[in-house]
Amino acid sequence: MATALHSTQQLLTRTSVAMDTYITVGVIHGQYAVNTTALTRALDWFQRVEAACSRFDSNSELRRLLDRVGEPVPLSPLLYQTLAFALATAAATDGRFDPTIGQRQEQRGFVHNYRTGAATPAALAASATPATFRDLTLDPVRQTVTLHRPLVLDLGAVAKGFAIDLAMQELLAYPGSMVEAGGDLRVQGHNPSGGRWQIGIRHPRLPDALLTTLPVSNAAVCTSGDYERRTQDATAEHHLLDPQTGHSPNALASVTVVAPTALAADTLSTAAFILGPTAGLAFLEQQGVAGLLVTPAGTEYATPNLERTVQ
Amino acid sequence: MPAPTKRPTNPAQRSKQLLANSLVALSSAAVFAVYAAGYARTAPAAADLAATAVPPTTPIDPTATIAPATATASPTSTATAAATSTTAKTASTATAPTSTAPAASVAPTASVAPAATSTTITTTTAAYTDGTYSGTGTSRHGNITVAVTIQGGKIVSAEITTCGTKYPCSRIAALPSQVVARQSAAVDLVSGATDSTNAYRAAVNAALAQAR
Repeated sequence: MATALHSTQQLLTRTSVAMDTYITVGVIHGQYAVNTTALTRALDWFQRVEAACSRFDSNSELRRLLDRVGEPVPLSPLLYQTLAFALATAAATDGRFDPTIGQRQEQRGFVHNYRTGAATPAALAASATPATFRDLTLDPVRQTVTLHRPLVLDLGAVAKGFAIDLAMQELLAYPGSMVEAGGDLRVQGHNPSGGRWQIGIRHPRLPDALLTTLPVSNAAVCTSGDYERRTQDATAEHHLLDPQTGHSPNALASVTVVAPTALAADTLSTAAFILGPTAGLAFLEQQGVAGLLVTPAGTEYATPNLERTVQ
Repeated sequence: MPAPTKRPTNPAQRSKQLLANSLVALSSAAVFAVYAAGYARTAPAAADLAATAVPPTTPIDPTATIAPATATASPTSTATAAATSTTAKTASTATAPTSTAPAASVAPTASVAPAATSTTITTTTAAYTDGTYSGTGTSRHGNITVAVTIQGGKIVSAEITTCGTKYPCSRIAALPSQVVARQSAAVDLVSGATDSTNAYRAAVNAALAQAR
């Protein structure tokens, strides 16, 4: 029998805070010594990505970029790649996923820095025609971006996943490792029991219940939901907005995506959430990732390749 | 009989699908591009974060509602960082070059070290006085204590050090989703949108109140 020879191996974890959520990185060390510098370096990636991509920090590279309209602006590799992936996803969804949604997120009141409570000043006044992802162009050779009009970029659906991937790069040498950031995660190798990692999917309406459990190794699992980070006003809209309507889509309660990278899983789960059950499911299948979409009434739509743990 | 296919026959549609299908590959390429660009090259961005993370006169968001606003400050609880570890083998396996004690292996940087280690940089224009300060915030799940380290007048870290008695730190830190995981031995981790970090905000604010 192929059961693990040793009993449960130790999972050494560290926890920090970035991107308005809790970050946990961990490695299974077994008989190996753990160089905890790897855990520190893994956590540091979240600070780096946040410093580059935060919409809530007036001194972030992203915010400074927004002040420079009409000229090519050189970007760090981090911001360039994050933006490039967001724009590629925008193109693949005909703009239903659009990083220029930041302007309307600000109008909805999602402007507060989580560390300080300070409101980032609106970068531009409400304009009659909202910007789209076609209002900026990347130069892949010079690694620059040109904004063709004032706009506000939000990379919130992209950056956290990217940070998870970069953090995981620091932990690949261990027989098992995990990076978890506010319910989005990536695992590598085996779990503390020597098997595949068992990833529970939170029920969107019952906080203490699981929808299902997925067996995962060497993949990311990210969930976009409507059940946290709502506006404070009576509309109670959540933080995901549909560029076509300017409002929160309400056909789905949560979308979970399993993909090789957290960058893809995080971004595609948000995109599928906005697209809704039918188009969202088709989009995930087209991308070759596994997905589970759940409506507010509890109806589930899954891609055929979604593997669930047999209980 | 030809197998049914969903592949578009229209060349424009087909090229669009090929583009779309490449998102996963593109994501992998992006990770390698940035990781290859290197840790050092991206380091200055982290300094920017610290420079502006917490303006000195900004109150915590009063609309934060999950936690009752019962932040309290305690200047002496920075030495309990071991609570953030879920391993029992820490002491025997830690080999970090910067670590000499079990507690340090959990947080090997100066971030939760005694304040004496964080006084090497000073500046007269600092918004905060250098040092390590701790603060506590309360949530429905229990208390969170953070150690905020100021160097050169800037926040360089704000690590969770201890949690209240209701749950250990490892649970508080990732609530609510990870509580579910711990309740079921068959689940290692939970994916799902999570609460934002109101208790953490309160704890950081309490710590920073001492640094002014």
